[in-house]
Amino acid sequence: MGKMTFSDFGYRHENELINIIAGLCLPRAGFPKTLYDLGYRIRGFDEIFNNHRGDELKPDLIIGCDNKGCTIIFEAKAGKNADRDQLENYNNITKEDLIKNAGFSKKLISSGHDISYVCYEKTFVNNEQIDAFNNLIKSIEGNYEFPVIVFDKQNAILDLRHYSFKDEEFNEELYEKINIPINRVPEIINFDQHSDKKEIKIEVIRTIISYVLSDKYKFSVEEMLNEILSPFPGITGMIGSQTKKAVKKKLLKILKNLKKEKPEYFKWDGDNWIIKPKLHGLHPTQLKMLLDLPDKIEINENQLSLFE
Amino acid sequence: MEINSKNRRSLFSTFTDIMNNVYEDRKKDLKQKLGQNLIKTYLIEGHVGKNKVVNHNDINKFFVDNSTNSNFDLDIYETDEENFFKLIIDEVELFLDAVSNQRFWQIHTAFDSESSDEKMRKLLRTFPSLDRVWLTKNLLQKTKKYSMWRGISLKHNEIAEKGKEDYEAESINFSVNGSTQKKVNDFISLLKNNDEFNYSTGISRISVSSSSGDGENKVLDDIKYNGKFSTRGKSFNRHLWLINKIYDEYQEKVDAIENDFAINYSDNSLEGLPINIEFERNDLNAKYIVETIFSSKKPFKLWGYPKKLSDNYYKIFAVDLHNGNQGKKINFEVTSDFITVYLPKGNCGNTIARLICNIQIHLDSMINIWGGDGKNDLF
Repeated sequence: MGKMTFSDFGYRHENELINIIAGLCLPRAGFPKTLYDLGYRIRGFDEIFNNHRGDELKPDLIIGCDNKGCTIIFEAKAGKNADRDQLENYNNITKEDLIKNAGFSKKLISSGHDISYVCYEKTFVNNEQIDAFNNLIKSIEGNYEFPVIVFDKQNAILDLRHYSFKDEEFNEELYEKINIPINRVPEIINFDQHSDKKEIKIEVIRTIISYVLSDKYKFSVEEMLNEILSPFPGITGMIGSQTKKAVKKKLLKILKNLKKEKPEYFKWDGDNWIIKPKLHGLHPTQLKMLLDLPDKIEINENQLSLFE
Repeated sequence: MEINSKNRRSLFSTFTDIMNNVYEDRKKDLKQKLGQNLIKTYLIEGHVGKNKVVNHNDINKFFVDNSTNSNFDLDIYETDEENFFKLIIDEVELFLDAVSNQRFWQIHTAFDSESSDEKMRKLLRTFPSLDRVWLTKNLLQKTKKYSMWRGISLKHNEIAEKGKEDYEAESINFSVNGSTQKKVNDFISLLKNNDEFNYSTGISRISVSSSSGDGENKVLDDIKYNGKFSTRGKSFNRHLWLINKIYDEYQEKVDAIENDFAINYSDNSLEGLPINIEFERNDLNAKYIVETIFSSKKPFKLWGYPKKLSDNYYKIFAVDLHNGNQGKKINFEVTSDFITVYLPKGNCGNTIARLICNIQIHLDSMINIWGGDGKNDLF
């Protein structure tokens, strides 16, 4: 048997880890709703705020339970060590910081807050197996009392390995280990910095159809960017600027590529992208053509890169 | 036949007169006279104002502007009552009653079914902001609490697998008419307990009788799952009472979907919840479900790019092509066991009712629909 590669396991960087925790807060068929049953709800993704020292923090996910007054701040690590400054900045978050600087209600933090790291047991970087948990724990153990949740993807198990949360019920659930149906992990977050062009192109095509059906035939890159980052209102504003920047760069290439592929439908007028009248009727053949477009990108891009 | 009612009370009284003529003549086995059609009511959702409170002038302007822009032969006449209009489409008179609710309308007519159905279809085709009301199996079954069932039509229309459109798809229709509630119930139980047919008990029509007191106001209504009511009997007002009972429940469900389940991020919290549709049938596969629902074609009218996550698991990036919610994005997850719907805020709740009705008729009538803590009573 050949050596396993990164793609064999389909590791999805931090997004998969965050989607697992977020998924446990959503009552959804085919996936455990352990944290939802305990009263935890999603409170924020990639939200930026400062601690009292003025350090900037951007945790991947914040969940909270109103009834218990517990808030948990998650940082996901796919394989890298935890940065010393980041650990120190998280360690310096106070209850007051969350109320004053991040706008959380006193009730949500009445029993305190936890900082938690979530990581894979093992992961792969450039096809090399990385002992992700052990790498992470080296920088935490003895220095910080952050509970660490580990996802053992090969055995599809999530459990608590290091320290514990303020909420005893939360600890009990994780000590018992939670089986995660790997193929049912929700995708709450559409994109991250690593999202490929095909993933983004699907959203672009869908947004174009949505625009045409709403009689909107002109759009700026910024408008399209905000639309594709998440279909759910309000979430786009929570996505970090680095991710936005990375997605925007790919979006520009996709739009240029679309114009090249389908000049009869799209053009750039110097300020905005224009959907030409030929696509305004959106008949069944065009809907089928748009459905097939995302799958064509790889071929076209490879061809372009050969020329380049 | 022209009805010149300037307010609803006058219209309702005229309709009651028409119904009584029909009622008396039918009792005597006389042939139906011209102008003695059953009175019909179509429940229509009108999305006239985008995110704003709609008033009489908005509705009037909506019809004037849209019919002018699309060259549609429609005349709208205001009456003495606010939010009550008469529409004429190719000589067919339709009375639009938006008095108690400017979104959930009732359209009444005394014209024959063939003409009025055709005009309603035309109206909905031309005005994408309007949609029918979709009465799910669960909602129709709730009418048992306040009416007696006299008949039922159960329907299952299989949609041919992609690439096998030449094969005859399975079509099952069962009807009981003029019967008793007990027989109708026994008939449903019979099918539900049969492994070959239990998935094919989607309700396309029920006939219910309703009256109060000594039965002086008795009516018999045929209710279709797409929100069309045809009534006969003695009292148009009793017909209205029946409609409003169902419509109130429908509106409650739509409100719950839009307020509790539509997803957005606000006030430091992710609001909304996924909606789960679980199949009872175990002979469906995810690929067939995806191709059936997201074909862009009727009846589902959803465009969707399927991202295959594993053999039996797809994530769908969809756009609604259907009236009333056209152009709105919706995310789905599809497996052979369930569909999870992530409805972004701004979508119309009736999208879920439409999806459920169509799944019940075309895929599996036994689906369980749930969300949050609730079980099986979402729609």
